[in-house]
Amino acid sequence: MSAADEGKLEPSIVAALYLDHGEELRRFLVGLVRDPALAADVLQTTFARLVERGHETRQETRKAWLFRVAYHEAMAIRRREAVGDKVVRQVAWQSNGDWSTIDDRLVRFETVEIIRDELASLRPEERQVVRMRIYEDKTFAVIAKELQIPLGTALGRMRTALMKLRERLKRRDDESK
Amino acid sequence: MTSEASYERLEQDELDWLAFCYVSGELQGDERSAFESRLADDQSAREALALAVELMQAIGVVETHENECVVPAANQRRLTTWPRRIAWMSLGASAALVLAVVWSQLDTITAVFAPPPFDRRELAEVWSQTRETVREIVQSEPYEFPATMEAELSSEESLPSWISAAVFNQSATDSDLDRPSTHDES
Repeated sequence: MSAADEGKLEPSIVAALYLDHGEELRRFLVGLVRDPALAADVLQTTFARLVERGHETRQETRKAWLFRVAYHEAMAIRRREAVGDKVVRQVAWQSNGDWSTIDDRLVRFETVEIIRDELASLRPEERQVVRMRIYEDKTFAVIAKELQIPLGTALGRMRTALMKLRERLKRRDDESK
Repeated sequence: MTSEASYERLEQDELDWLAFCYVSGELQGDERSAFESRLADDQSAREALALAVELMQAIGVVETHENECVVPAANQRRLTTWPRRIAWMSLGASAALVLAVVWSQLDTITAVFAPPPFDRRELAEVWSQTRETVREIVQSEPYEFPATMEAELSSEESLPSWISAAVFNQSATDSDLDRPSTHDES
């Protein structure tokens, strides 16, 4: 190994970091830039930075380092590409209610199955609010009006449903470790 | 659950809800800016955001499948579901099996039914196309298949090419510098 290679992260480490955190990073970036293609570009830039500077990081903080670099790259791109206004709108896949453009790398089959099971176990009123908000893309104000319930009740049902769904995903993550 | 654990749970729930509101466009103005600023340093907030994105997309997929009858025809072709793939793969496998049986019993069938002349080469081509169709479906899946499937994805194929290029181009460039370092890299 030449002196210039000394301290550089081993390629196997870079690859392992990508396999461990790439998907989560991609989802994080989609949440920031609202465009899967742009998120993919930023992800690539982030790992390029890892190759360049990863040897300066500590193993136990590499994940946070990756996310921090990804965050700054994403914000820089948002400024350059004037994505700011787009961020106010919902994530790209929701802009037309067109779920068929979903990037498979953002959600795995097993996740969909977990969520399907959990949605089926929600109380009907909670499931209804979830469907109206996410699939039908209605605001909570509209949902409350159509269901003739207080706005706080609509928000509460959504929040309760999300809490149950998140718990299930977190259990999945814990079981996979 | 101790009071401290309860507090942490409440904090996490609040963070997860904020992340959802951010992704779904519910946060406006100062609230949105405050959450984005938090993402600069708060790893918990970043992970909450990633989870919110995953959750919303998974819910969208499930609800889309549940309501498939209202999805425009143009979009239906782009929907890829595991049950649908299984159905197509089963159909392909069944077709291949039928072809194999017909192929093996060809002489008998010919003698009994006296079908019109046919081209065995065409049958072989159809068989190859069926295998290729199955292989294409297998290779388009991002996750592992059961061992019985023709999964030819190697572990290396789950990494994008730019990862390899970035890493090995970097290594190749550095290895050309065949001289001792004159500075401290600490």
